[in-house]
Amino acid sequence: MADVAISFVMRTPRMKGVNVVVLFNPALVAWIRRCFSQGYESQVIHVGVSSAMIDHDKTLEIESTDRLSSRLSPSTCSISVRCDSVVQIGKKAHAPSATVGRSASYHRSGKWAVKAKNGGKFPVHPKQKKEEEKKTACRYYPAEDIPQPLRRRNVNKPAKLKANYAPGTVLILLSGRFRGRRVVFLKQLEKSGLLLVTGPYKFNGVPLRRVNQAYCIGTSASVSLDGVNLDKFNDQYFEKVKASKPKNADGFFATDDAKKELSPERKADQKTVDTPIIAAMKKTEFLKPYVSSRFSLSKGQAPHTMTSPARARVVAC
Amino acid sequence: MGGCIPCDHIAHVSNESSALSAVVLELTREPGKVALVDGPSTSNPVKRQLMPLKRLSITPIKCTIPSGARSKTLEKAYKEAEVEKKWAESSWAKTIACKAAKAKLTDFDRFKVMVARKTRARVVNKAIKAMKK
Repeated sequence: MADVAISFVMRTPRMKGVNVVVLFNPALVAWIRRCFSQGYESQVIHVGVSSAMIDHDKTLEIESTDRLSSRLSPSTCSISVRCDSVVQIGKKAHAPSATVGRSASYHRSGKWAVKAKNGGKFPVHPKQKKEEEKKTACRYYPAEDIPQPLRRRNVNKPAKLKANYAPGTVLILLSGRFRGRRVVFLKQLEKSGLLLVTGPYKFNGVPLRRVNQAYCIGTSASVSLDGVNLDKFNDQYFEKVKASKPKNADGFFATDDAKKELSPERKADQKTVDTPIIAAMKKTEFLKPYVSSRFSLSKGQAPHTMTSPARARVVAC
Repeated sequence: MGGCIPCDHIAHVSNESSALSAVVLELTREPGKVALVDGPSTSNPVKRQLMPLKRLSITPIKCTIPSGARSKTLEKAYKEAEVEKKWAESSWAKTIACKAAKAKLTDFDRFKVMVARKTRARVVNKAIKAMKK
């Protein structure tokens, strides 16, 4: 079955201009080429000719190689594959774009029929979702053991507020810069669960600060927080402001030498919060000096004996 | 316990589970070990029961009761003798009360006590200094 035809134009003097159409199987193209390179002295080329479009005057039916063998060599002819000379065996000869070329393949594929069915366009199907590749277990273990970190199943939730901590309670700070100070508990911050606390600053130098419950002792003393607005204080308020360093050598080696000035906003907030608290504190006697002083243990005192009255046992003598 | 324990004494129950209360010793069952005890006080009544003497600390307060007296008679005698009043006046009871109060102190109370002690000390020392001159 011939799919491809190669037409030769003879250049030999005797057959010059003669159009030789060779119809053969595409698989034989390589053979032909090989023949050409060898000169195919002894090969046989079967050549067929379609009568339809070929000018009989100028074509030559070749049936054996002998006569042409020496003729059909690269030097004697040039091979050209031309659309106009492509024919199909066994089929009605029709439009020149019969077997070779883009249009031939297109026609052959039948896409024109699909288009015709769909009104001139290719039917468009909705995109199918790619099914997630199911991860099947490897049949083989990897050669190297790569240590995999264990999964963290821990979920960090803000700590639950201790039962006896109400807004206004006086707390004793146990660690950090302000250890031993007695401070007023304002509120628990939502995101982190830390406690917002203030000295008041005037009494013991503790500013509006976040403090961890674990490092506090609650006392039974408390102050009323009427008139104190704590809405603007949240975790974001206390976030550290990162100073942007220039991204060059100077910036890299620069140290934060400049003293960190407290923003006037912070100072104003401190005052706004503290004023009503101080006023409330003045109503209870000794509360101001109590908060101004530090907590400590002296000889004979033990924390486990300093429990709340509700839990205290009466000591018999 | 050395010596005889008079049967009509008031003992004060000193174990932890029950409140401090005055209780009347009635009689000793097993001599020196267990006593029949009854505490008719209104604030800290002790049910009539046997109690090991180990749990009891005897006080000098007395109320005379006939031997084998039952609860009602006992109550009468108890009130007549004004046991509770005598007990409260005693320094023993006062020290107990003191210790109890100290144990109940809150941190704020402790602070106030400290301030009070300092104030007193200042006054005292000032006076002493004045006297020394």
